[in-house]
Amino acid sequence: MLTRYLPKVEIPVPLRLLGRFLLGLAIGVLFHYMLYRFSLPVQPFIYVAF
Amino acid sequence: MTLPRQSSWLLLAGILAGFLGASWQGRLASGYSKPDGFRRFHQRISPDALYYPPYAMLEALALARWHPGQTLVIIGGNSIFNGVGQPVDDLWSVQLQELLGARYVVVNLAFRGAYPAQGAALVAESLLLRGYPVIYVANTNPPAATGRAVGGASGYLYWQALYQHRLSGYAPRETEIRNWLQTLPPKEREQQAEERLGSWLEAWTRHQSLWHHIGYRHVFTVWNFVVAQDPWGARDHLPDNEPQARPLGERFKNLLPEEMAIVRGYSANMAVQDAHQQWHLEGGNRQRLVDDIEKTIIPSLRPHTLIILNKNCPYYLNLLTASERARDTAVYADSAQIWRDHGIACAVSGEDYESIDYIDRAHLSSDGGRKVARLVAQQIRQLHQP
Repeated sequence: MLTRYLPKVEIPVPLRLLGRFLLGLAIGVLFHYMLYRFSLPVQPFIYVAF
Repeated sequence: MTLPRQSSWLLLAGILAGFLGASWQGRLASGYSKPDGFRRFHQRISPDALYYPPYAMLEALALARWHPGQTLVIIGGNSIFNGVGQPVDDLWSVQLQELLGARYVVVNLAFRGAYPAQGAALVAESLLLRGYPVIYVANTNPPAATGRAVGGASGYLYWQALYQHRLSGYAPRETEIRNWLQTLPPKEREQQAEERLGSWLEAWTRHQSLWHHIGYRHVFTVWNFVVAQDPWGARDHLPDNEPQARPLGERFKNLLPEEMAIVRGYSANMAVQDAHQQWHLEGGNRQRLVDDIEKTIIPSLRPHTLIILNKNCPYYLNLLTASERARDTAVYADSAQIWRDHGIACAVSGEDYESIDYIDRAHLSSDGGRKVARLVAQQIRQLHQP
């Protein structure tokens, strides 16, 4: 595996936990965005005069 | 607690905080987010370009310039009242504001392809229920009548208004919508169910409010062919680009047979002749319009409503036979009377207009816009004295 050649950096525990929380925040916002995207119609509205 | 478990809980807490935070921001955006210097929902901030203004934005726009002592004039209807054919500087609703003066606040909430029962009508209803002085003005034509609050590109506004508790709970409208939903083919019914679910969620999560705000101010995240030259740019950078009308000699040349079929269709199956060869609105169509009005326009809004029935361009009307023209006139006159019989002011526009007042069969040029603004101002003054 390529990762074995990467330098082993010990990330402090509080930083790792903060990272997890920030990742969670991003996922939460992404869920919110997905609601918006799923609400948009699949077929575009093409205006035709009537 | 072990580190992996702590880590998992923090991830979960982050997801919850992110989602709730976005919803909170959306709720804030629903209170303040609206287009700058708003004149109308031009093509680049309309469903044509995947910009579906949330219902809350419509109310925010209506109240943005209003002060106590002023009367709100909320404009609904379709592309004709949206001002398609008029560059923004010549927009008819801007002229209407000038004619009416500072005692009125005119807000153009008309959408392309919308009906009088949709969007703006719901805003007028909601504000009237909350005690604001409101006049609702919309355009339509005899066959289109009131339309239905749901369906089409603007129908989502009904579901959003409903779930945000902005409407009066008018039973005939709700029953009619329920019945209509049952008549839909499965695919369309599913589409309506999704629209309804999305609107229910919007009331809680405000995802439309937040991401439309971001799309307007910062970055638009969905590609669309209408704005293909700058699909990701914030919509506030894209001005209202409605073009000037072409010279008169270049108008009305396309699709003449198709346009004439539409013009004839406005009255062909709607009228019958009596023994004196006079045309009248046929009984079934008369009843359909009566039902439409009674089921879609709530009674308390009717005395505050003005409906304008737009006639087609005289270029096409003059190609009709004398009998067809008489039939067209009778259908408009009888339809207008039915609106009035329901306590709704109604006028026909276009009877004395010329071809130069139109850019095509239906849409008004800047010249036509000036005329309709004068007509509407006059009708509003008759309807209401502040």
